[in-house]
Amino acid sequence: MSVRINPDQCIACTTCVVHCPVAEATPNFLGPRMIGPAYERFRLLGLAEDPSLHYCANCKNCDISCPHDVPVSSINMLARAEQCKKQRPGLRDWVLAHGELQARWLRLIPAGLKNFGMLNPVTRAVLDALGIDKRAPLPRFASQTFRQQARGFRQSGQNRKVVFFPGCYVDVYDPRTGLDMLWTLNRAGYEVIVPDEFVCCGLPMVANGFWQDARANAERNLATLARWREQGIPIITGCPSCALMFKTELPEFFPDLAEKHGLTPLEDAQEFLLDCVERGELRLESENRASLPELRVIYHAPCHLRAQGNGLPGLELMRRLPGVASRNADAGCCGISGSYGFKKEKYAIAQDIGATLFRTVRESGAHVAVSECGTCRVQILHGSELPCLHPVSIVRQRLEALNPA
Amino acid sequence: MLETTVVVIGGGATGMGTLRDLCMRGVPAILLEQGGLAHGTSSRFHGLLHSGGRYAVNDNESARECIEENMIVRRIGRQCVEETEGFFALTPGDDPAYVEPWAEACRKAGIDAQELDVAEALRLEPNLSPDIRRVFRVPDSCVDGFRLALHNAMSARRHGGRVMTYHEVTAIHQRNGKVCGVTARNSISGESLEIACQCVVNAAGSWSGRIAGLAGLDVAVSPDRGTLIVFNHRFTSRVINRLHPGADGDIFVPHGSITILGTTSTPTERPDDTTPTCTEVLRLLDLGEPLFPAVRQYRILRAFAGTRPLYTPGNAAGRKASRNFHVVDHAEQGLEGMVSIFGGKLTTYRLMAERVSDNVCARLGVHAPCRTADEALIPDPDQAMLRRAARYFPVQGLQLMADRLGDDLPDVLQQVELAGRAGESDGNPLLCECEMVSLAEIERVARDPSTHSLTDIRLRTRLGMGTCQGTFCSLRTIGALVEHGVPLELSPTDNVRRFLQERWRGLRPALWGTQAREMELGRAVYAGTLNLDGAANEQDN
Amino acid sequence: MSRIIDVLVVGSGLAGLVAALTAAREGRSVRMVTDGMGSLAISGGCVDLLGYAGGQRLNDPWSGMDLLPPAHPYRLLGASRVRAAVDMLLQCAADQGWPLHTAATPEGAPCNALLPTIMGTLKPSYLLPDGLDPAALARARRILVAGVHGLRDCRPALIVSQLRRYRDWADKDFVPFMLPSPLGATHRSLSALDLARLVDRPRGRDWLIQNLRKHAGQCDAVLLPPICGSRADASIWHELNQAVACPLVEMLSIPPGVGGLRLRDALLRELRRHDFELVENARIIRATTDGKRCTSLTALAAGQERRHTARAFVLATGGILGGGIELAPGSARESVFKLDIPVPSDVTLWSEPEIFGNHVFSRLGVRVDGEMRPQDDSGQAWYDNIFFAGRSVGGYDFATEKSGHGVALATGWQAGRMAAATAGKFHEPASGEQL
Repeated sequence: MSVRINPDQCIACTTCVVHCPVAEATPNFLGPRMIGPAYERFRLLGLAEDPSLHYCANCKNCDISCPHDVPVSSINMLARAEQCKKQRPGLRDWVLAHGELQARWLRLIPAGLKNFGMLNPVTRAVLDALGIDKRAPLPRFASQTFRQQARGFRQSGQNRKVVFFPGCYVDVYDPRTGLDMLWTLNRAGYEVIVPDEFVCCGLPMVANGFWQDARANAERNLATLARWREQGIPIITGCPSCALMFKTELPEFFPDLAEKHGLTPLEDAQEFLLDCVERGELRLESENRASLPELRVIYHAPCHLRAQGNGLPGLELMRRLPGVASRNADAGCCGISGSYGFKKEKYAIAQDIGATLFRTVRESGAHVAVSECGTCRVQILHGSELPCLHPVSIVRQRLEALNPA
Repeated sequence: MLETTVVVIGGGATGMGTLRDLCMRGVPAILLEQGGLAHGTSSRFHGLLHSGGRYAVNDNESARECIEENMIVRRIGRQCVEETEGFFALTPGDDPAYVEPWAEACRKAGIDAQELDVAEALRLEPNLSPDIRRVFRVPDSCVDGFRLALHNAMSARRHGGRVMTYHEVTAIHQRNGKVCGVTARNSISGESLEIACQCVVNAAGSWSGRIAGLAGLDVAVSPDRGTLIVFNHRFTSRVINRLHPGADGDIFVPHGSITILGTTSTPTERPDDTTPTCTEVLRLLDLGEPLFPAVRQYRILRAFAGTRPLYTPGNAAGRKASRNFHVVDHAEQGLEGMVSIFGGKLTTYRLMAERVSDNVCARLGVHAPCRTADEALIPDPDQAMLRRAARYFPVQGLQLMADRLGDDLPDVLQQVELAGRAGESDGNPLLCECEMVSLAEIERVARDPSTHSLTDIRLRTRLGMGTCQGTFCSLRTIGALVEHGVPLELSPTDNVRRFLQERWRGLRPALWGTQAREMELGRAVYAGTLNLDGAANEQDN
Repeated sequence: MSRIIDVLVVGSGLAGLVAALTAAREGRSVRMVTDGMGSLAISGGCVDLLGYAGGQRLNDPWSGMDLLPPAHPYRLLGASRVRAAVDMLLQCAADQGWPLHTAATPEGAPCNALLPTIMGTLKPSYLLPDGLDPAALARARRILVAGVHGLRDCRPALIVSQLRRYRDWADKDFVPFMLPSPLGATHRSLSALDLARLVDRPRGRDWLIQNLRKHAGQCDAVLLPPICGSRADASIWHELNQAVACPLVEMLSIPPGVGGLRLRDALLRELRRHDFELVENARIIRATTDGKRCTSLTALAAGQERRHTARAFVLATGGILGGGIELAPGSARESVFKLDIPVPSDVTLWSEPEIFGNHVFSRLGVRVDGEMRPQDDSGQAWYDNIFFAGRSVGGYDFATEKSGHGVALATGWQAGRMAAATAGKFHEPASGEQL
C-alpha cells in the first residue's frame, strides 16, 4: 500500500456521501466514506469485507467532491481486487469486463448475426439469467471495427502526426465516432496513427475485479505508448475513461509498470482539437454561417472527465462552433458507469441516478445530446430517447455542412 | 459499613487479577478503584504483550517470566489479545554486535527468536524501512490493557468478587499493628464508606507509594512518565521493536484499527501527570523514523501519557530502574495484613497477582492453589449465539464487539432481540462509524452501574477513539441515551463538552496536518453549528 | 487552458461562490477552479453574521462589530461594505426563488435570531431561509418535536430536555414524536439529506405530511430536522406548511449540510446565468508572478499540470479545514503562494487547554488590507491582482464568533468586486480572446 492510498486524509466530513450518486439512489450502499477510508482501517485489521462494496460504481464523484484528496475510489477498487482474489467474480462480470476480447473472438461472425445473436429476446433472457438486465441498453456490434475501417480511410497531405487511442467502445461498437475524429484531425492537418497493438485500457477489468487482466493490458499498452512517445508524437483519446485510466489509475495501481515504461499521459482529444483551433490549424468559422439552421445541443459532462480537472473542452468546442447553441445539462451522473448499469441488480439504481439528467435532456428542447463517453451516450439515448453524439461528430457535421467539399 | 476479608486497592490489571485470584481461591474480597476501571496505567501504555525479547539481555529472569506469562495470557485472555507476533529489527543506527548476545539471551530465556530474511520481512511489512539490516521474529503480541482489567473483573464477579469504581481510599485503619479496615470516598456522590477487613492489598500502581503512605509506610515508588502517539491506521500488522538495548520511541504496536508508537521515559512527581506535550510527540517521531521512514506522513490521532510505577529502592531511575515487580509484606515494617505489589509490567500482571495472593492466603491460612492460569477470563461465546447476533450487528464488527463485551454479550443480544420483536424501528445503528460501535452495545455499557460518563463508555467500547475523535458519535450517543432513558452523571451537553475536552487534551500536542483539519471540523460542528460553547452560559440547570 | 479569463476564483465554498457571482454580475468572465466541493456541503443554510463578540451574545450583530479587534475582516471592510454584501446575497437568493430574510426586533430593526439545533441548544444567526425561521416558535405554546426512526442525528427527547434549560422555553409544552422510517430497514443509517431528497419527491412529501398531520393539529408549531427538500426550492416548504396546517421550523444539524447544499444550489444557478465555467478536481499548486502582478495559477489535476491565465485572482481556498492554510509542526502557511503565517514555534502555544478557548490557531490566516489584497509585514500589498476571501483570511474565529458564513460573504463580495475592477483595468477588448 503506497503512502497515498491509505485512509489518513479522511476527516469524515461526509462531503463524498453528499455527492455519491449511488448513495443517493440506494440506502443499501454504505456510501463512499464508510466503504472507503472508514472501512479501510478495518480491512487492514483483516476484517471481512462489507457486503455493500459491490455497489460502488467507480464513477469518481467521491474523488471529485473530496476537499482533502482522499483516494476514495482507489481504496474501493483495491478492496474489490482483494475481495475478488478470495472469491472469483462470476461469468457475468467477466463478460462485462472483457467486451473487447469477446469482440475479437467473434470477429469472424458478421455483425448482423452477432447482434442478432446477442440482442434477440432469447439471448437477452439468457443474459438476464446470467445477470445482465434485459432492459439494459446493450450496444450493438459494428459491422467492422473502427480499426478495420480506419485502414481504409484515406489520409493525405498531412505533415503532422498524432496517435489515436480509440478505446474499446469506439473500436467495437461506435466506429463512426472514431472516423469523425479521424476526419477532423485530418482537417486540422494531422495524419492519425491507430496502432494495432492497443488493447482495452483495463478500466472495466478494474471495476469488475479482474486485476491481473487489467495489469496485462496495462503492460501491453504502456509499452506501445512508450514507443510512440519516444518518437515525439502526441497521443490522444476521445474517451474520458481511457484517459483517466492512463493518467491516474495505472500509475496508482501498477506503479512498477509505470516506472518500467515511463508515464505517457493520454491527452484529451477535445482539448487537442481546441488547441488546434487556437493555433489556427483548425478553422471552425465559415463565411456561409447564416445559411445553416441553428443546432441546439445539450451537453453532458461524463464524471470521468470531470475527475480529470481539465474543465469541459468538449463543451468549449461546441461553444466555438458557429450556429451551435450549446447548454451544459449539469444534471449529475448518467448512472451507467461503464458496465455497472447493465447489471441486473444495478439497472434500477442506474436509471434512478440518471433520472435527473434524462429529464433535463428531454426538457431541454435540444436537437441532439452530446457527450464524450460512449456508455454515457448509450445511457442518455436509453433514458431520454434523444440521440447522443460525441462532440467530434458535431464538429464534423457542422464543418462538412458549412464547407461542402 | 461493609465487611470482607481482603480489600484490594487499585482497579488496573494487577488489582483485578488479584481480586480474581483471591475469589477463585474462595477468599471474599472487594476492590476499590479511585477512578473508572483501569483509569491508571493499565489503559495508558503501548499495549504490547512482551515476548520478553526486550528484557532478555539486561534481565533474563524478567524475560523468562514474560514469555511464560505471555503464553498464559494468550490462553486465558483470548478476547484481549491479538496474536500478531513481533519483529526485532536492526537499523543502520543500531550496534550489530548487540545481535548475537541478544539472540543467545533469548534462547536462554526460552524465547523463540527466529532470524528472517530482510526481504521476506519487508514483504510481510511493506512499510518497514528498507534500510534495516537484520530481522528476528518473536512471539510478541498485542493486548488491550483496559479490556484485560475488565475481563478479570468479570471473572472475579463470577467468583463472588466485588468491584467498586470511583472510590478513593482515604484511610487505612489498623489496630494493634494489624490492618482492620479502610475508609473510601465515593468521588461521585461524595459519600464516605467504611469497609472492615483483615487484609489490604496495595495494587495501586503509580499511586502505590501514596497508598502505602496512608498506612504510615514510606516506600520508594517513583512514577515515571511515558508518552505515546496514536496513529490513525494500522501501517504495521506486527509489533516492531528496534533491536538494541531498550530505549525511547522504539516500539510500534498495531492495535485494532490503529498503531501506537512509544514510549518516552521521564521521572515525574505526580502519578496523574498524563498530559502529553508537543516536545514529546516530536521526539517520538524522530525516534520512530529509522523503523518507519514515512512515520511523519502518517496521521496522528492523538497522543497520551501514562506513568510507570517504578520501584526504586536503590535510587535507580528511568530506564535504569528495574521493570521487575516486588511483593512487599509490610509485616516486616510492623503492619500485619498489608501487602503491596510494586513495579512490574502488564505482561506479568497475572504472576504478580498470584504472588501477592499466595502471600495473603498464607496469612489467612487458605491453602487453595492458584487457578488463574487454568481458567479463561471469559468463556468463548457459542457459535449459535454469534450467528443470532449477526442478524442485528454488522457482521464484520461482530467479533470485535463480542470480544469487547465479554460476559455482557448474551445480555446485549437479548435486548436487541426483544426490541426487534417489539417492532421498534430504531434498529441497531452504528453510532460510532469510525470504530463500528452500535447502539445496543453502547446502551448496555451505559446502563452498567459503573458507567457515569461518555468517557466511561468510550473506554469500554472504543466509541470516539477513531478517525473523527467524537465529532459525530458523541452527539449520536448522548441523543440515543436520552431517548432511551439511560441517565448519566452530567447533563447531556456538559457530558459531551467534557468528552470533547478529554479528546482535545490528546489532540493538542499534535495540532497539525490532517488532525488539525479534523479538529476544525469538530469546532465547526460543536461551536459553529451547535453552539455548545455559548450554551454553557445560557442554559439553566 | 488556453482561454484567458477575467477573474479566476479558487475554491467553491461560500466565499468563492460569492466572489464569482460578484465578479460575474459586473460582466466579467469567471472561471472557478475547485479541489473538492467546498464547505457548503457540510454547513447550514443560514448566514451567521456575528453571534458573539467581546464575550457577549449579540442581539444586533451590527452593534457588535465595533467590539471586534482591528484586524478582524469586518473591521477591515467596514460595516457599510458588509451591508452591501448582505444586500447582494439577499437579491441573488430572491432572484433564484430562495428568499432569505432577517429576524426583527419588536421595533422592526433587523437582528439575530436564535435557531434551535438538533442538540436542543440555540444558536444566533442572521440571514434565514423560510424553513429555518424560528419566529413561529416564539409564539407557540405547544411544540411538536419530530425525529425519524433510523435518523441517528436527531432525538426529540434530547432536544426537548435541552431546550427546556433556556428560560424563554422552559414554560412551553413539547410533544416529542418519532416519525416511522420512510424506507424501513436499510443497510446504511439515514441522514437528514437522505430524507430531504426523499421529500424532494411527491412520495416523500406524502410520507411527511401524513405523519405530521396526525399530531400537528394539537400543536402551534413543528420542529423537525432539515428534511424539507434538498434543493433551493422554497415551494416545497410552503407546500408542506400548508398541508400540515402548522408552521414547520427546521433545526440546525450536523453534516451532511442540507441547508448549505440548498444555498449552494441557489448560488450556482445564479452563476450559470453569467459567463462562468467550473473546473472541478484541480488543485492549485503554484503561482506565476511578474513583479506585483500574478499572471497565472498552475493546477495539478490527474497527474498533469495545467496553467490558468487570468487578469485577477480570488483565493477562497478555505482555512485549516478547507486546506487553504496548512499547519505543520512549528509552522503555518498559505497553501498556494506558500505565504508564511507567523506562529510561535512551540505548537502548545497555538491553543488553550480549554477546547472552546481563545485559540491562536483558530484565527490564523493571511493578512489582508481592506481590499482583500494579501499584505506583507510592512502593510504593503504582495500582489496587486490577488484577493483573498473566506477562511483563508486571518483575524477571526468563525466557530466561537458564529461569523463563518458572514465573513465568507463579506470578504467574498469585496474580493470579487476588487477582482472585477482590477480585471477591468487590464481589460483590452472583450473577454474570451486568446493568448
